[in-house]
Amino acid sequence: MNTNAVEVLLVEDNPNDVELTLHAFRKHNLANRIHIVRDGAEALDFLFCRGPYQDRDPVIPKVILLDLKLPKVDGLEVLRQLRADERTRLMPVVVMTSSRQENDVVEAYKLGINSYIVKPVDFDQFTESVRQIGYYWLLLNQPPKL
Amino acid sequence: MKKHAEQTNKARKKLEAAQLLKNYPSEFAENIINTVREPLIVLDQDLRVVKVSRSFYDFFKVKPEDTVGQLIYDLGDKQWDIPKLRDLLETILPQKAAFDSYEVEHDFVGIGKRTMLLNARQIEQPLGKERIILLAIEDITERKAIEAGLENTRKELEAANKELEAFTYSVSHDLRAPLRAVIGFSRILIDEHAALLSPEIQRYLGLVLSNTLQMGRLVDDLLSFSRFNRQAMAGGLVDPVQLVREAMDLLGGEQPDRRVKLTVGDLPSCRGDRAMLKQVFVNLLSNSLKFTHHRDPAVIEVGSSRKDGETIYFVRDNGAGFDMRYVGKLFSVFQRLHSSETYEGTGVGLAIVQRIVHRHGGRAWAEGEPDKGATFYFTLGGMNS
Repeated sequence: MNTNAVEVLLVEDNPNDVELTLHAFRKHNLANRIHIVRDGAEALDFLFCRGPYQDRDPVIPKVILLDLKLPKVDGLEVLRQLRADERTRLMPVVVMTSSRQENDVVEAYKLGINSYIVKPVDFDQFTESVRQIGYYWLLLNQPPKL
Repeated sequence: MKKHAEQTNKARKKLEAAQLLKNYPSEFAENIINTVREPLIVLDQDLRVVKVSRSFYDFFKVKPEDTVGQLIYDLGDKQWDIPKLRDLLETILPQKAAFDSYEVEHDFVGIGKRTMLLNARQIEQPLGKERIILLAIEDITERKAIEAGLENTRKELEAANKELEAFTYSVSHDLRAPLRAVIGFSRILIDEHAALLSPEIQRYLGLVLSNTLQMGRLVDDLLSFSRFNRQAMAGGLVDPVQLVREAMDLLGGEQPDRRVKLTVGDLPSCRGDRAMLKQVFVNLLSNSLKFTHHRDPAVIEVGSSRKDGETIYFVRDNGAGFDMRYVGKLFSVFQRLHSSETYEGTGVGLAIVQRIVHRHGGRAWAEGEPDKGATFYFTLGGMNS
């Protein structure tokens, strides 16, 4: 797989949510270079070019969409490691999760996330959220040079 | 004149009482000692027993001949030789002349391990006479046991509640993901592949979708119900008139083309959690709006009355009302008195009202008659009574 020019890293273990997110991206022509990883450990491997990703061109995606409840390494731990490393310290992270729990929100912000989105159950709202996230982070936002 | 006579009368009575006491001082003292339910000991300054109350003999199961004249520490095979008591009588009392509620735990022969609260007074006698010491004993063993039991039960309840809330939260939370999938894929089929689907398939898909959406609302309401259970409460001064206004603003959008006559009477300010109390009005008013749907105009009255020093707030409407036989079900979670075809809803709104009101220490109740409207009452108790 060509992972050299990945713009969006989607960290999501639920295959349905992956498909719905991809569907929404495609519908709005935003899904060109999206890479999916299924757990926190794989996300870290990808971002730090380790293991299966050791030969990847170390380009940092424009945004990472991060679920919090993940197998192996959970979302908050992924965040902790990203923020502790010079290479990924500044990279834009948008948390996309089902959790409205206030302590999750606060903890994620403490770890320096750039946005926190609660995944809507309603399809229109979900599609619209994904569209807005993609549009904002891929087209409007100016990320730092990493 | 009258006042003067009253005063004289009072003074005379006081004098008579003093005289009586002077004539029978020991009898008076003795009667006091024997009337008091808690064991009482009178000691001389060498800590020998001068006198004990009847209740002392009963309680410690000892006889007068083994008691009077004895050193307190020697009573009943030296079982009163308690280091803490020695400390109290020999060190603290001479310095302070009095102490109250001094807790002593001791294993007594015959009556077992007891926890006692001790009060003591050192009384200076007239010149030349020795001082005496009064020692009152209250056995709080049972009370302490009950308190400990209560505390245990409270802790267990608290733990069970926490667990239940965590469970509710995680259930409603984890249910959202599959719901999103069912709703999402049904919508993709309906929106993007309708051309391939027969009308019948489309209808079935519509049913799948509407049922799933309803389940989504149930999950959301359950989630918010559990949130109102767990949320920490603030306790500022709140103006209910303002809350009613905000609630109506919030609900206004849902009722575009209806004539609603709302009157807001006198609503005294109260103490409580502003956001939660607003939710109470939102839920009650939303209920009234829903059940007056077929009325033109809908008449809704918000007001209050005062009874037994308590403010009772109410929300009254001229809507569909309900049969008082089912009033008990009204405030339970997921209980509905109307079919969801007539009035949509999940049956959580009033449960939330009741929970919030209970958390404020108040009560919620309702009165209604089919087709004549309903009135919902609540008090806020606690901080407001």
